[in-house]
Amino acid sequence: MPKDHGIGASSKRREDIRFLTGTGNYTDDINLRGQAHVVFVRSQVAHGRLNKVDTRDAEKMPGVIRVFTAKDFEGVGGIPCGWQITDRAGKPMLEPKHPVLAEG
Amino acid sequence: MTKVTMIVNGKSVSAETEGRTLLVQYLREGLGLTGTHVGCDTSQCGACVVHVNGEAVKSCTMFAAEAEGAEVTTIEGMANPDGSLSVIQQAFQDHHGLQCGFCTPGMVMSAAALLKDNPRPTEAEVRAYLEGNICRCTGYHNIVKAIMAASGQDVAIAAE
Amino acid sequence: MYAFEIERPKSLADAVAAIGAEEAQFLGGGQTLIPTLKQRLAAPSKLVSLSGIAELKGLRMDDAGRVCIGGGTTHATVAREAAAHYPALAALAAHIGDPAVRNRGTIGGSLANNDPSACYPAAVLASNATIVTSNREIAADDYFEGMFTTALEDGEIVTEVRFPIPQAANYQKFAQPASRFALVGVFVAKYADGVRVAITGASEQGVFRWSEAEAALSKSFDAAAIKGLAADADGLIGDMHGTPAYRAHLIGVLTGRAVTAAAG
Repeated sequence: MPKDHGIGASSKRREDIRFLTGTGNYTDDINLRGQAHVVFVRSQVAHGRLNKVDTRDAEKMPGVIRVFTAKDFEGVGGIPCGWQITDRAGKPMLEPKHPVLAEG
Repeated sequence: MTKVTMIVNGKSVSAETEGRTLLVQYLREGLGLTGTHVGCDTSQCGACVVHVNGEAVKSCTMFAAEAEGAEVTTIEGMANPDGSLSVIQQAFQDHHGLQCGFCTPGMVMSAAALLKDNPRPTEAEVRAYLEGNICRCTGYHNIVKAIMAASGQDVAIAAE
Repeated sequence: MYAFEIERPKSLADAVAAIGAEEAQFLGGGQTLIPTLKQRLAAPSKLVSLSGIAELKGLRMDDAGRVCIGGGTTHATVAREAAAHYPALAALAAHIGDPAVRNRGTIGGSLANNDPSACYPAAVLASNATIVTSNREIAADDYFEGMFTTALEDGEIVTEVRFPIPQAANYQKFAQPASRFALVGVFVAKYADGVRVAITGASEQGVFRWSEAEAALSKSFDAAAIKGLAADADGLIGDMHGTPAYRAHLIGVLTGRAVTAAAG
């Protein structure tokens, strides 16, 4: 039987009230004056090779402030690994790249 | 632009809208009622469920203009008049029927629509009724449990 | 969505008058059209919403004993109100989409769209229902002309669908789990003058009658009567959910189940 008091009893979540009354504040609910919106262009295929990114048409669209590609984030990114291990031969482990945006 | 007037949570409101303005945009952007969420925008997930003239509908798949003159209830209109949680909302908290809370408004609105037509549903009926509401955190057991409890029925606690 | 105007007439006559513009389109419950507009697959200059027209809504029985359903009647209403008269039809309506979709989607909208995987076309064709429009009456056999194609002309509205009530009927849907559309759906209806079997979800031409099964079942209304009868896989839909051969197999299985359920 679940306990209703003391150590081991489940406690009511305090954040539930705002979620249950529609007063949570999710990213999509934030609408500040002058706020810009961002759209991420994702791969349209499940597995493929990105050869090149052509942003010319996107830049020409009305209201577009800026189009970002991997070039804008050179030197940014990667997720540092806290504890590098080596393989049996003593070679350092391979770290996958974690680019901010996909590179062509 | 056309002026669309409706009653939302008991208050008469009106706003200029485009033909293509969805009911959910009218509520969120026009009235600032951001409790109704847009999860998928393709009528799959049910986070945008509101009541229009007492019936549960997906507000992302209905134009604001079609709710002209209608009575609309959103999650913001579900608490008791004194601000305390309604029976259904309280049951969701008591039975841990939510985690991140994003799907919760739709779940509560669907649950309310179900219990209005069917005050003592079976567990199978609850599950079937929620087929258009998707939760990606907790799974559905505690949501079903909360709705069973809100209908005044015993809730099995064996799974806890 | 591209921008458009929206009009919401209160009467059928006003709706017919409002559709005059070149790029205007009717909006039923919108459960298919609104997602289509969001995808920018349609670009009407004006939508004429039929949801405010009271005369298009509701069920009645006519003098010939048919269930007559207004074109603007939602699936939820059919599920509730047709149950006493035509249970198989009510059951079909009760399993379209999900509850919130059923509160908006209409029978007239479904029939005007004629999605090859929609449920209603199977019931209409198997029941040999009559589709009444703002201009005329169309027999079900003449109405469905292929995938998303019907006998409806521009500006024509489905005002009512009249279903003769069968002695026995059943609908079996093998639902595509994500969309709830029929991967294959089979509606079997037994009338005094014979059995009709309509298949949805399977053919590239949309809903169709399985005449070999109809002949066999008209002689003996028993699942055993169609044992060994194979639906032709030629012209059936092949996609990521199933091959034509798989759909052909489902047609046989579901027809058998529908007959057993209807006869039982």
